[in-house]
Amino acid sequence: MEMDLNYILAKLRSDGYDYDATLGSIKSEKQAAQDAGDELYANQLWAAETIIKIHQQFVKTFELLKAGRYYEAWCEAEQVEINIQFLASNSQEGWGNVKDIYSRVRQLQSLYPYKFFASYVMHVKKEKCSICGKERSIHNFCGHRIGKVYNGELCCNIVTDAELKGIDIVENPVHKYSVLFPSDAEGRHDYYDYTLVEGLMKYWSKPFQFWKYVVRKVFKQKAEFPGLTNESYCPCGSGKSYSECCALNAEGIKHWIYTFMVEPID
Amino acid sequence: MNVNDYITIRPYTKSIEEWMEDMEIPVGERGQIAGADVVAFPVGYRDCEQAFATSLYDFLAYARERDLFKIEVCCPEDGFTELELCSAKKRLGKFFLASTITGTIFWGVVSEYIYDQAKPILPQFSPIENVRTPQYLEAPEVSFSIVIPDSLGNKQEITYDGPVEGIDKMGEIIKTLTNGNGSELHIGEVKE
Repeated sequence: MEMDLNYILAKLRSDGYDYDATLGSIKSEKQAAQDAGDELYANQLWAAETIIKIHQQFVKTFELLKAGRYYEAWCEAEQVEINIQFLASNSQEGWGNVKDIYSRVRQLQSLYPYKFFASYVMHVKKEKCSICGKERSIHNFCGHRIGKVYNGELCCNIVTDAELKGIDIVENPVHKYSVLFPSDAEGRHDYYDYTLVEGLMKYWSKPFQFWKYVVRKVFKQKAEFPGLTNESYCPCGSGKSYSECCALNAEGIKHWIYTFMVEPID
Repeated sequence: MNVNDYITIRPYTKSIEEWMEDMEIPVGERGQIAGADVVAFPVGYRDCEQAFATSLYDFLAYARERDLFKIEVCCPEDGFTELELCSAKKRLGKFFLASTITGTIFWGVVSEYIYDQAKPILPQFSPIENVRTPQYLEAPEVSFSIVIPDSLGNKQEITYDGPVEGIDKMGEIIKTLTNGNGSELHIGEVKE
C-alpha cells in the first residue's frame, strides 16, 4: 500500500516534527518504487522528500537566526531557495506546498546587509549526467535534462574536467553563499551590520509564523546626531561624507523606519 | 522598464562557412551543420574563444525534444566546452538562422524555453517601498542573440540582454524581419 503523502505533508508545520524519521521512511519507500520501476510513484516520493527537506531547512534557518549565526542562516536559506526551485520545475502541486516559505526566504534575504559576492568563471571541458553516468555530448543526448527528475532522482551535471578562469565580484551571484568577508591570519571576520535581521528576530518567534515588513522614509535633523561633522560619514548610510550628502538636503537627514508585522501566536 | 534598452540590432557579416573554418570542423561534418535550420555558435570569453554559453546544452536538449527544426552546433564532436559565468543570468548563446521562415518557429521554442526555466523562480520578490531591491532579488535575466537574414538577404544580429519579462519584444522584431519589413527596425540599432 502506498504511503499517505497528503497526511504527512499536512503535519510538517507541527511543533517538534521529526523530519529525519519521515525522510528515512520516504527514502525506503522511494527505493522500493525505484526497484519496482514505478517511476511515477518514485517521482511523487521525490517531491514529498524535497518538500520535507525544505521545511526542515527552513526550521534550521530560523534556529540559526535565533542563535545569531546570521551567515550560516543565509547559507541555509539559500539551500531552501535552491530546493524550492527544483521542486517547482518538477511538481506544480509540490510548489503550492512551499510558496509561502519561498516568499519568507526572499523577504529575509532582503533584510541582509550583503551586497557583493565572489563568483567564479569556469571553463567546463567535460561533464557527465548524474542519472546515467554518460558523458555529455552535443550529438548524442542521453535523454536526461538537468534539473528534471527521473525515477525519483534529480538530474545534475557532474563536471569532470574544468579550468578556473577567474573570480569576479558580482551583485547577482549564482551562489549566494559566496559573500565577501575580510580575513587575515586569524580567520574570517564578519563586520556586517545585521541590525535589520536582529530587529526581525525580536518578534519572529516560531518558524512558520507569518511576518512581513514595511519601510517608511523620514527626515531627521543634524542635532539628533551628536558629534556629526561635515567630514563624518553621512548617517543615512550612503557611504558619502555628510557635507556631500544629506547636508545638501533642506529636509534633513534621510532615515528609514522598518516596521515588522508578525502574526500573533495563540 | 524600457524594453528597447535591452535589445541591440546590428548588421552581421560572418558566414557559416567562415565559422566552420574558425572552429576547425572536419570537412565530413560540414554538410550537416550547413544544412541545419539553426546553428549555435560559441560566445567566447578571454582566452576561451571557442567556448559555448552555459545554458546551450540544456536548450539543445529542449529544442530537440520538440523536433520542430534541425539544430546543430558549430563545433567538432570532441571540442564542445562551456563557459560558466558569474551572475545568475541564463545565457543561451548565439544562434544563426538559415532562413527567415525558421524565425517565428525558432522564436516560439526559445521563448517557451525561457519561460519554462524562469517559472520556478516566479513569482518574484515584490519590491518594498522606499528600499532599493538587492540585485540578487531582482527579476531573473536572460541573454541570447539571433542572427537572421532579412527579406533582402542581409543578415542582422539581434541581441537581448535583460529581464525575462521583456523578451516578447524580440518576438515582434523577428516577426517584422520575417515579414519582410526589416527596414522598419529602429530599436537600439547599432550602426557600424
